[in-house]
Amino acid sequence: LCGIKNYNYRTLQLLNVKSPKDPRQKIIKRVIGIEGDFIKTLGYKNRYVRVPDGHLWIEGDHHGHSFDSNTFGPVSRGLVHGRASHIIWPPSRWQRIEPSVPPERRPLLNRDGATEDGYDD
Amino acid sequence: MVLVIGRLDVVGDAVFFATHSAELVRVTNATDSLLRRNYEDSKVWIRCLTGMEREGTEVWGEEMVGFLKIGRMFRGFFVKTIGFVGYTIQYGCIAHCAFEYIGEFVSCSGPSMEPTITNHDVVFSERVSRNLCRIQKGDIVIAKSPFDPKMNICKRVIGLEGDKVCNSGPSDVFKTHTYVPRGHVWLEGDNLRNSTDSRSYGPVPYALIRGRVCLKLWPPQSFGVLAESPNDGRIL
Repeated sequence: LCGIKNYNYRTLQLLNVKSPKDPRQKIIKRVIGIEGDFIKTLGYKNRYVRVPDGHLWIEGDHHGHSFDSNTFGPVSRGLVHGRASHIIWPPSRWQRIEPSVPPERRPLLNRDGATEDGYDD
Repeated sequence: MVLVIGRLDVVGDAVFFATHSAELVRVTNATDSLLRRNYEDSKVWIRCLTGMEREGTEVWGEEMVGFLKIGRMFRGFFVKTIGFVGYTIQYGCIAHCAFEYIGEFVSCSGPSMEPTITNHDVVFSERVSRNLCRIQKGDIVIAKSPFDPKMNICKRVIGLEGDKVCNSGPSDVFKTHTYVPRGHVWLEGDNLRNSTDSRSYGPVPYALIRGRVCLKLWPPQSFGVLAESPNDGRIL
């Protein structure tokens, strides 16, 4: 949990976040973009979004049926509660969760202006 | 069988016996129960009934007595250190639980809550209301800043989820209203002219609230419960 307390985490990790719609619920989503990134959204009110300072863009892996930033917009970093690192139950699904994302969900432009290689619109 | 009057000392596994004439002998065949009873108070003069062997008595003299005394001191010191560490861990856990679930002391800075809270005031904010979801309109809360999770902001709750709030400035002719979305609150500072709050960055998620300010502790002349909002009409 040390990385969370320092609020340092990279993109593509799975995070345990307090839901902005219900403060007693926690949701697990993947970080797609951090502050400064430009994201192309799937079903949000704006087609392109620049993630504001101190916020994150999170998405579920199952794109059509996910309650994530495409519904409620970028979330503040203060809502992050932890990082999902391993699956421990059921035993047939024991694994370490790796940070990864399908290439079509990478941000268009990173914070320092670099474009992602291999991105096609 | 030898009857000896003297003093028992224990160093590690060995038991030494210092006689009247400061002679030290090592006890090899003493009864176990006798040794245990006298272990703690090695200064007691006892009568020891046992068979003993003398081992190199000329070698043990004043020197060995000094060594035995230091051995006893280190043992006591070690035990005390372990006890101290144990107490520290216990008090640390209790303090952590208190700060996490009961309340914390906060030192406020900035002009955005004047005249209710001025610069360098110390207040006590309790966490029980936040955990039970009982924050109400008109409460002053401490929340994490939406733009920097390491900074905290201290504002008053003007609207809860579902409420209608006025988000136009005091100098606007036409007043506009918005509804606070689900799971969010609308925060405003008491010093409306000099405060960045929900009027600039929008509603704040409820989960960012850390605690409700209930008592002002410093300065002593304004000790006590905090005043109501000085701005009439902001809370609809």
